[in-house]
Amino acid sequence: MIFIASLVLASMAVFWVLAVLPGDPAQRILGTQATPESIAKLQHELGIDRPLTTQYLDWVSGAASGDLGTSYVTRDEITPQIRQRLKVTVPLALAGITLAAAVAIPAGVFAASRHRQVGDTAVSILSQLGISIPAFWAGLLLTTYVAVKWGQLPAGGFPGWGKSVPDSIRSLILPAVSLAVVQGAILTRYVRSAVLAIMREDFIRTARAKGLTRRAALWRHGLRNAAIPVVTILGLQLAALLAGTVVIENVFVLPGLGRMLVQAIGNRDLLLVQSTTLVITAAILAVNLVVDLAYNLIDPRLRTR
Amino acid sequence: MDTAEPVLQVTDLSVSVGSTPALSNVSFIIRPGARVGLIGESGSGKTLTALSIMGLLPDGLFASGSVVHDNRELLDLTEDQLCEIRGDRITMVFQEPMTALNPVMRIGDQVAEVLRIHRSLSRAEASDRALELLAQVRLRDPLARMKAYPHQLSGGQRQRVVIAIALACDPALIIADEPTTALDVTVQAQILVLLRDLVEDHNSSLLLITHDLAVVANVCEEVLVMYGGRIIESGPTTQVFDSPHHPYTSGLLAAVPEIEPGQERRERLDTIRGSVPGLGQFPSGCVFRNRCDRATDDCLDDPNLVAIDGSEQDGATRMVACFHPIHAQSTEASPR
Repeated sequence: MIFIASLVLASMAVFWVLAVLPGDPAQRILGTQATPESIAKLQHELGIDRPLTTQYLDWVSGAASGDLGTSYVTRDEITPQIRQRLKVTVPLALAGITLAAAVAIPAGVFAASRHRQVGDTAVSILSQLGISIPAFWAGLLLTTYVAVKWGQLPAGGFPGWGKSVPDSIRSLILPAVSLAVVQGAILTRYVRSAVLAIMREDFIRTARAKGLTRRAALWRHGLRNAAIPVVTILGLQLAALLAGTVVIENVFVLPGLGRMLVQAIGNRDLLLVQSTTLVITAAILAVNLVVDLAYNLIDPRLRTR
Repeated sequence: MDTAEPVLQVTDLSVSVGSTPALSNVSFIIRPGARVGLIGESGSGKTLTALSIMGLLPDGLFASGSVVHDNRELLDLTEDQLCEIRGDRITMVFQEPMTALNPVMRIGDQVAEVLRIHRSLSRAEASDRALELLAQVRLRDPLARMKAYPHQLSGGQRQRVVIAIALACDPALIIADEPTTALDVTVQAQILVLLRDLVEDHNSSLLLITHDLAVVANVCEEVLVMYGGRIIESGPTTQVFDSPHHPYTSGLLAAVPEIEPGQERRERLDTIRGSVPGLGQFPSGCVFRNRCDRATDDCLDDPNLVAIDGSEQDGATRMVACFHPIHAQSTEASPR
């Protein structure tokens, strides 16, 4: 319910922001030499001479049935384009976050279980390093060494799932690793501090008073409790990746959603911008929904009675 | 004279926080089946004593001295060896029932866990036994509670669960650290009676830590009075409470408001002058001398906890650490 309401509100906001922006698509398409008559004619063809509410309702009802309309600039159907791009961005973001979590969760727990010992310090230094590396620079480094010097993986481009699934996967590996370096480093810090905070809780002392070692208490009682803040961060990170892989998509020349959005903005392709933003918003809301469901699974206190 | 091996023998137990002594030369014994109260104000070292015995001191704190249980020196044991004793032979009931249980684990599982650690029972056996224990601590509708999470229980119910965990393996000693402080007054009495009865049923000894003198009077036959990280007086509860020898104990007892119907209310409560110094701010020599009306230059020396002759009762000896103890007449008059 909240999901639908948020999405409707978001669609209004996106539509309104772009509608009040200066710049007429018809003028843009026809150029500065166009006569007022031809502009009026094109405006009528595009349907942008209609009242804003009509335009909005038309767009939203189309979007609800999966039809996001036709681009003003390229005259292409928007829905298939976005669908095509999602097939790159979603696997990339998921792979990035999965890799990040796969490294960060064990590393953070390890660091916390060796609080103020050598292992903890080592993890802290590495994660600090990871945070300070921008994703695009990690991407460039990986391209230079892994792809160019060692010739292991493609340096850029995307063959498409239809052409070759293994090659498509191979071309997503380096971008995913680049994303995972930064997100994993950040996540490691959150995992570490979440586990440390939990280990100071009274129920951990109870667990140890039962005869569990510190490590066993951490595994049996600490981790599930520490998962609550960690899931929050994971959700935020995945949402950020879905909306913000544009830099990495540019470094690796991937036909992703972020790259299309930037191009569409450059072309004043308002309807495409509007629709892409709506899809990204929906994806982020979906991630938040999953996070909320995960809370309910983890923490019985949040379940509705 | 009681010749039975003590359940716990603590000798010269000391803990320092940095270079500041927080616990100094604490010595006492707990005999089998004894219920011993450890009283004192906040910061007197009660909880530190308990955590030292359990080997659960916070990081960076270390205990010196000796804590012997079952012919083993607990302070010398490794973490793994301690884990065999914790929860099995020596168990603990904590002050805060609201946070002492894992919020994301079912009650039944939390009780069964301790049995699975120490008794290597199967899941089903442990669960059956957990149900029995929950019934023993008189939790209403124990079968339904097995599946409940801590947040679905009240403070008193949670403390019953914590007690069930502490009793699960029929321990030799239960250390209860302010078990009723966080509870409503009406629930406090129920929990105390429950604890006292169950300790007896399970043939365990009890070290009851509290700042509440009435609790000690109701539950414990022996009492240790702590001040400034030391035991300053000990002995059978009735004797200590009837005729305290240490000026601090005397002040503590005088500061208890009496609620006796029909009795005229005292104008104001007696108080001990001054306040408990912070850690590291206790005077040298007798830690109580700066608040004591009887203090003299003798008190610049550190008084030892010494036995008072002819005061033995059921194996418990009266001891006091004071150069100028109060000799109340009732001691001599006591026809024991």
